[in-house]
Amino acid sequence: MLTLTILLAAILVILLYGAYTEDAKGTTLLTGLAALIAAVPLIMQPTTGALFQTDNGPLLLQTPLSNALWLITLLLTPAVLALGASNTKVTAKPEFSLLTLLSVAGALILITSHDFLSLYVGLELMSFPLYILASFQRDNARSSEAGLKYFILGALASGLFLYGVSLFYASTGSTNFSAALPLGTMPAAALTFMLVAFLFKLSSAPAHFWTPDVYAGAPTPALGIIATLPKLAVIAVLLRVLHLPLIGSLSLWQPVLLAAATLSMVWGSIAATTQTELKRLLAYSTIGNMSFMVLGLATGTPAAAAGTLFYVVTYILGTLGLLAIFRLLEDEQGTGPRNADGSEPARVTGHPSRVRGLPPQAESQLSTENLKGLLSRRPLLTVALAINLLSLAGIPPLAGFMAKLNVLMPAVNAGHIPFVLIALASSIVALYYSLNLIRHAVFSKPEKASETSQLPTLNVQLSTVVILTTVAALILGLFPGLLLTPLTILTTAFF
Amino acid sequence: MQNLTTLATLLPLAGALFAAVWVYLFAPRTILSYNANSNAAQIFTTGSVLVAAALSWVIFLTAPNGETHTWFTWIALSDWQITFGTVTDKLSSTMLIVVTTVSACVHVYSWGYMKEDGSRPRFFIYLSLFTFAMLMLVTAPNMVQMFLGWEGVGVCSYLLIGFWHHKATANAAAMKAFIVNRVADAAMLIGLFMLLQSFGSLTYADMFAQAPNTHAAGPENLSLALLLIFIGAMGKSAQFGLHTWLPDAMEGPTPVSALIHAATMVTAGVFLLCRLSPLYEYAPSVLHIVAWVGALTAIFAATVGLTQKDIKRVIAYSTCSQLGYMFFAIGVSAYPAAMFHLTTHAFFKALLFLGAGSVIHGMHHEQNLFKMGGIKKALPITYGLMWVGSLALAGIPPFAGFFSKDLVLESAFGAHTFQGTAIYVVGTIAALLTAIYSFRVIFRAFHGEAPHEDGHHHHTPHESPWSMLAPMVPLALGAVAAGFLLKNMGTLEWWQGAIVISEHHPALENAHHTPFLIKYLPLVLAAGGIAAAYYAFASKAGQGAMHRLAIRLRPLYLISYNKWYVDEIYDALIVKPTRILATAAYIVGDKLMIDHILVNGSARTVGAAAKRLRQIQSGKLETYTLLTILGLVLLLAFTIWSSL
Repeated sequence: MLTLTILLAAILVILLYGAYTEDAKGTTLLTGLAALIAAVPLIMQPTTGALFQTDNGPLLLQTPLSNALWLITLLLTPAVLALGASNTKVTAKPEFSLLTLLSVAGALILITSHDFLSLYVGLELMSFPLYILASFQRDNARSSEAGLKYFILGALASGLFLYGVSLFYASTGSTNFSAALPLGTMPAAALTFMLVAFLFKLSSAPAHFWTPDVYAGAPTPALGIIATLPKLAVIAVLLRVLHLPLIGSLSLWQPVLLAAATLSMVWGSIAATTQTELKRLLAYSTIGNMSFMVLGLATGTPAAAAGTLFYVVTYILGTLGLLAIFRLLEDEQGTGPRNADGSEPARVTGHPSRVRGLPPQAESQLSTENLKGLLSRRPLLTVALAINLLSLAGIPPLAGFMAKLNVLMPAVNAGHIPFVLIALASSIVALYYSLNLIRHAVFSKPEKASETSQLPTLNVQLSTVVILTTVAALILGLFPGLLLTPLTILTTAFF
Repeated sequence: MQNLTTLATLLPLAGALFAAVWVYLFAPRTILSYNANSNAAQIFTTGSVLVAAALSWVIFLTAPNGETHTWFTWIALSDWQITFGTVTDKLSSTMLIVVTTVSACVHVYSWGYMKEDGSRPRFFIYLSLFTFAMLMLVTAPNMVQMFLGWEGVGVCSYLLIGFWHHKATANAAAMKAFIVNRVADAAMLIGLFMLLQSFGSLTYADMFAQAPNTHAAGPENLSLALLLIFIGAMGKSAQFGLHTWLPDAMEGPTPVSALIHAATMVTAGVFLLCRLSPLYEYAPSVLHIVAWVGALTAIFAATVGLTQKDIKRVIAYSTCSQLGYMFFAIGVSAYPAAMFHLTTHAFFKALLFLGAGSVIHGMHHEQNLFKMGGIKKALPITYGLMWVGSLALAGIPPFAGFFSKDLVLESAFGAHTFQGTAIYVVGTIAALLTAIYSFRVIFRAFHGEAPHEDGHHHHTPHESPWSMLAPMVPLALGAVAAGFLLKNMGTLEWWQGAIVISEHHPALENAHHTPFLIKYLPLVLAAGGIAAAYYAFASKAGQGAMHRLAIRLRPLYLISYNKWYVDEIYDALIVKPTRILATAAYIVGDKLMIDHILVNGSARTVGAAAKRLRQIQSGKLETYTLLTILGLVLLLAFTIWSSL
């Protein structure tokens, strides 16, 4: 409760401060500080129990598990902010920090929600800032396109979700998680509608289509939050939904999630192979990685849940690391906020057909070209890139390997062996594009020799993020127990 | 104590990492010269190994009792786990002092030997990294960590043999070492998996505790696994059949030969078999094989060593031969004798290699014995040190080799079996040959006159700098005194349970009651061998005698000179057929089946699928919406249909 209060107070302060001063640096610092201060009560005096009690049950329920996930979310927030602050031309604005913090507040509500109504409030509070952040670069057609697409498809998902909740209410007479969904056709429909909406948020098939377009169009710093914290929050709440109100329908949601996971695995890994645009590639990597977590959720044992949460943390770390590296590359190449040749980015012409998708090469985007010769330019950055990529691809002894191991082992124990085999096969395909990026960075020479021998110094915040995620990938790979053991204790207590 | 072992194991790694960071990351940004930075790297690595050596001696002298210390658990599965840690018992502490002492001497020696090399830091980093891997191998409490060290020393050996990578021969030798070891390691891995299957654990303590049950459950299974492990050990320890890489490995810098190919890595196989003695005692049939392989290697390498022209190759074959001694000691269950010989051998063989390095250095990179001669005046200290090493190798009292080699031979005789006696005979003949070839080196190189050449080598030989001579002194002291001081190492009690011998294998016990003649026959033969070598290679009277003998016994000479044609046989039997098979497999299997159908086929399938998926990912909102709804409808159909 104290955490949420601190966060909401901070939002008001930052709103006022930002509105009057336009001081981007100050608001970023304030926001990061607010997130860290909000984390203090979680460490010093973690409280558990119901908040906002209603007749049917609490709206929010704090448990040791949700406290731990809050803590993780708040501790990762400064890294997300560092990405935003790094782009002085586009995202270093007070609004960016404010929207990020609003979204984090939504994520926290989502994680603790114990009622479909509070869940919906949290979901929308988390998502709306993301839509705005995706279209943050208003003078860039692709950014606007990304925001609009994200918003429209997000609205569709919200609609599906609300329809599912209404069917849930019709079946049980309550929207609280303490109600148990009975069997029958209407409850089955309620479950399906809700699950598809959740899958949308997780970038999992059959509702993953938005991911590549939004990733490619949104400013890279905005991806820092779009691709990370919501996934953790949605997985956390989905864990609750599946095991509290929907536990009676395990025989229904398990095959649905398994099918979704399988489709996303195959789709994410195969579609990525021909991509040369780095942020699109990251989108498919997300789809592929999320499918492992959906598989972990589908397995539905405490070990699988712990593995899934471990996975989401390593995924967030790896993705943040890659995005920070992408930001460094953008700075180096002069792409991103401006076009490569320094000209103004294309403006939205107002022609409605623009929204339907731009020709892929309309604007300068980070691509594998930008990686060429990276080893000779920035050897350490190349090492960091390789470690983060290989961790996401699941190569030992990095964190991503442990994550995959701890999701797949429970799945094997639960007898989902065919799905595990598909997962392994698709991770081999996924390895192809990871190694391909490393190949470009290590072995390819840039087509034209760089004109300047003097390299610009790297941005400090971004470098810090890269170092932290890289070290984390190594540490969590060698000592997975540091995170996995507490998570296992917490999930076991939850079940 | 446990923490000391951990510290000693990790220090060389820290030194290597620190030096690498210093030289490759930090130094380029400083104003210090490359030379100064290289010196700094040298100090980091050498310092860390010196401290590790000091710690090792503390551990060794404070009588460790077999404590296990766990660093962390890496992977915990439901039925078994992989942990990392150290075990500190007599066996690992003995290996600790051997490895760190020789490594420290070699590090210091390299200051002088590698002085003019342009990539000195790389050399020292590899050396320290190797030392770390070797220490991990010997202190590991389980076979997974042991295998990590095992492969680690393999990689470092590859890097160090091929250190002068501009030399094609060095590259080829490095690859040969790696590939031959790969063959052995494949067997070893299968053995490890079999052990894991039988014991459900690869932790030594667990395995030893369950050994009686496992043996009762399936003796053949256990024997097969141990045989496979032995094949792995044969590769690392260059036993006959898998020895071909060791002589070629002499392409590497000489300090590397002293450290890796004399004292440490090649003894890993011996160490491993001793470590697994509680298991090998249950597999007498495997021990028979071990004994015969060891005996064969001992005599084979000794005969080859007689005729080689390259000073380092002579010593390499000598190493091969001495490792054979250790293995046949193991084969008759005299593990303490093997470990004793391993320890003394490490000192005098490293000394011989460093001495050879000093000769090569003094002769301006000349390794051919026939182009040396009469250099004892120019290199008096090296000459003296080589005498010490050779006397120890030949087994002359009171030098170290006398005690350990005699114990090995007496144990073989003490087995009181046909096999044991036969091995004793073979080993005694090999001892004679050892004396001849090791003194052949001394008399050829240091005595006589320098060959009159066409003025190609007009450099005068010179003595090596103190930085190279000084580190040879501790090794020489070891070569003199280690045998006497560590005599108790030859008894089972000394090992305090780290080595286990079944009461059915009394060879070591009987070794103390060897008849007088049997006991001193090797010594007499060795002394005779030295005299023969003096006659043939140093005295005026014997000049040309060897040449005439070689002509008279030409077939034997050729067999020895061409190393029993093992490389040629391998080339004809394995390499060439493999090439033909590989070419066929390349065309049919690789090009057609794999490339065309499987790899490119699956890649094409993936590519085509990706193209399709890309078309779906059109950027059109209505398509996305439609597909999402389609997915929803399909899922709805499933859920509702199954709830009906």
